[in-house]
Amino acid sequence: MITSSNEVLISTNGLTKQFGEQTSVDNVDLQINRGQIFGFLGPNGAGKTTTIRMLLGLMKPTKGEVKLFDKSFNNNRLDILRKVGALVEAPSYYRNLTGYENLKISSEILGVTKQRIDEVLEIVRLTEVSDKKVKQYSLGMKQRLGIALALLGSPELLILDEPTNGLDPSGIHEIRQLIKRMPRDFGITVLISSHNLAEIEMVASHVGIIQSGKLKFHGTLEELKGDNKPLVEIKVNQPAKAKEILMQQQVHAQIKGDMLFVENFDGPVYSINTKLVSNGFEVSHLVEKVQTLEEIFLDLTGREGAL
Amino acid sequence: MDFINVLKMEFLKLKRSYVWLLMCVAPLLMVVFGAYNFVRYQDVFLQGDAVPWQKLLGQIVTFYGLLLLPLSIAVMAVWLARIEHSENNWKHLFTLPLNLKAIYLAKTIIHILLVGISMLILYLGTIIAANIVNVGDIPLKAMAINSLICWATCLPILALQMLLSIRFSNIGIPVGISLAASITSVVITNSAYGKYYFWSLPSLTLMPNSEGMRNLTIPYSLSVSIIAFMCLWIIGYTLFRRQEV
Ligand SMILES: Nc1ncnc2c1ncn2[C@@H]1O[C@H](COP(=O)(O)OP(=O)(O)OP(=O)(O)O)[C@@H](O)[C@H]1O
Ligand SMILES: [Mg+2]
Repeated sequence: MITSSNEVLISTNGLTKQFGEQTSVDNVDLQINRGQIFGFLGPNGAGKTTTIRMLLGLMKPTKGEVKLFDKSFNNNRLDILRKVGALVEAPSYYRNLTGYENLKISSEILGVTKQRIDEVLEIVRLTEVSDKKVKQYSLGMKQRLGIALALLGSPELLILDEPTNGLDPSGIHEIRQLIKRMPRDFGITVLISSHNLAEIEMVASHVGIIQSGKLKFHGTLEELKGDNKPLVEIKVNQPAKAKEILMQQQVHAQIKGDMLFVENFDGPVYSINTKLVSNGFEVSHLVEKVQTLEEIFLDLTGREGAL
Repeated sequence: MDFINVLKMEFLKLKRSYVWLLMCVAPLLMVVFGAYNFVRYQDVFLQGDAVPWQKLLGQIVTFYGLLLLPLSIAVMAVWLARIEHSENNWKHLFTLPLNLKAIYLAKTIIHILLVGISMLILYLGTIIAANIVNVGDIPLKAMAINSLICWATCLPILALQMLLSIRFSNIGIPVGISLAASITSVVITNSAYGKYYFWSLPSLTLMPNSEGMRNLTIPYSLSVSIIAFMCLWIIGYTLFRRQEV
């Protein structure tokens, strides 16, 4: 169920950021259309926050360009920011003020009513503690306040950088439900970053996977799953010989232990069995394994970087 | 978005923070301390043809102008910047649809007002103290003018401290520079170079006429201070605008 339109809200072209020698964001081309929930996925240090900071004009790209609502930041900073709500990296707040007063401060600039403040407090379920000083809030409550701040100006585009950080399971569930409703109920397009694949899988319509600053995948969630070719696992009496026979069919198998593995096999799996059996092999085990999304993610991002 | 909203936002942030009370307490403290000292050593001070109110004023403003005033300016700047450095606030502030110039200007205006409150309290406190210790008539108007000029001579110090406090989230840098500059002024103020040293100007303008001001004219101190302030403000704002958050 993808209902995104063709209107491009975020586009980047060759977006690059270097800190000294290190390239933290490397030639990233993103395109996010109105109505999408775009999951921006990557392990710690992959460059998600750096990319988001450049999207919001908080940081200048070393190379490449960013356009939001088809405009660049140079002359249209205020026009762009009026339509964007964001939570970057960690919630922002003034600790001596109450949750309500924190929202009140931003409302001066966003020009929203008291009613809207109550509304967003209700949405993130902070109404009851809205008169408490934020320094007395728990981490999860601060995070909710950050989300409320992002929603306050009724933005068309919501950019949330790891919004479920520090929330408990029911809080995570709530925020997730909220994000899912955004395009449908409020017409809000969402970019949400996370290092948690399961989270993105549950909310996103589109996915970008970043690793060491490079965009490894960009497309719909279906395409990500569809990319995924099965792995065939075979147990046969003479593996080395079987491998040669399969090679004649352009099927590349590898021997690991006493098993044969065929990666990225795109023909029908029974054809392997037929071939082996008709050549007199004894096939005692033949399984087609489809990778889980998690394994795809780990393959794309490298297992060591996924912790 | 009007500038007035930005100013309102900046004022809202000060709610329930009491650091600004320092700007009231510092001059009060000096008034009390100066008056006490004056009474205690009256015999010494009033030898020869000394003018009593000038001696009292000298006791009140010397330490204040040289050290306490510049240091409290530094502390206020640190505090105004600190609330944004902590808790990731610059990022949120920079994603709000407002002009960065407006934020920088609003913060500067609040800073200037706080220093103004300090000057006002010093002025009123001195008058009250003069009545209590009974030094006779004091030149209210001349003192008011001196206080206003002193306020203006604080501007370059204030702009520099704001620049440093926003640039460096480590408070040691603005506070350290302020300490060093103030201590240096103890030496420079009494030399011929006092009029060229920004940290000496506030205390020179506050001093009673016979000992202070010297060859420091009102047009000179006003123009030097305001030009330096504008230059420092523009540099500060330019750095601020380019800051990556
Ligand atoms: N201001 C900076 N100066 C130098 N290096 C930086 C700076 N900001 C980020 N980096 C580096 O850029 C890389 C990407 O960081 P970034 O914060 O974008 O990662 P991330 O994907 O958001 O990670 P996480 O999931 O941990 O939030 C990291 O190696 C980080 O050390
Ligand atoms: Mg991050």
